[in-house]
Amino acid sequence: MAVSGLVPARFLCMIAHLVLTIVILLSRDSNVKACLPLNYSPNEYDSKDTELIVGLSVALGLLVFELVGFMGGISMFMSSQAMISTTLHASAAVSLAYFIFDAWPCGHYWYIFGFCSAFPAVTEIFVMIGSFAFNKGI
Amino acid sequence: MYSLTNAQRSSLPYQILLYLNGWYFALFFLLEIGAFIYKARTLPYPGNGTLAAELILLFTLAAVEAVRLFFGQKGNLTERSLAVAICLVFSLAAALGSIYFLLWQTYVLRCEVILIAIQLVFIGFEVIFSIVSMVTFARATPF
Repeated sequence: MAVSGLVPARFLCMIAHLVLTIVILLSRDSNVKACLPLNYSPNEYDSKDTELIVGLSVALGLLVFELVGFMGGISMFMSSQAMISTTLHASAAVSLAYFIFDAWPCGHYWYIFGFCSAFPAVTEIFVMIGSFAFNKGI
Repeated sequence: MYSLTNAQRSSLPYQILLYLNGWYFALFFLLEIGAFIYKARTLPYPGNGTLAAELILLFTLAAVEAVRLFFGQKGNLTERSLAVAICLVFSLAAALGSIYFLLWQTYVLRCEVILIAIQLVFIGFEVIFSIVSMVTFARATPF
């Protein structure tokens, strides 16, 4: 029964990260303006905007991938992956909330992306490889 | 598919979905109450009890959702078609309640749109799985 609280905690942290990512994707204007100089051309705005859109979309894809691995039961009861995933997605949710409210410059997003989206996705890939190729599981 | 000793017909993906949907709805309910507090503080509501009606609808939705998830889980575990059918009827009501908050309530926040969309995705998957498991349970018992 020690694991029973771990599963919903991880799920809710991932959902929080998912919701915040979609919210930023829909309202990213102030963050894009925060990483531009005072006088900027539409060209500069567009390039920064595209950069942020790409980052958020890749983060969404990685989150969906991780949710599939989680809800498919591959890493659901794996406590080390659950710990990595829960802590990183929780910190992603907190820092993305600050990202919106304090209008962080959009370059800061890549730190959140690297530590809180890419890293748990990579460990999830390792878990999947271990589970499918080497029958290490559960 | 079925062996002599293992004739279990409960659906594991359906059970996972119902379990996680229970946790998700708890989060959804809390966030929705927070959204109502925010909207009531900052936006002008018409004075004829609209806010109260929407809050009552939110609590009714929570009750419907609790009944739906209960019948879905018990029906799936005990392999009864009837309980899963009750879950299916209640999921129609739950989907309509969610669609009300998505489309027809007085003010819809962007955050609410995303939360309700996730809830509707859950309900959609569960409807599919409940129909599949009803058909499975209604067949003759394999042994």
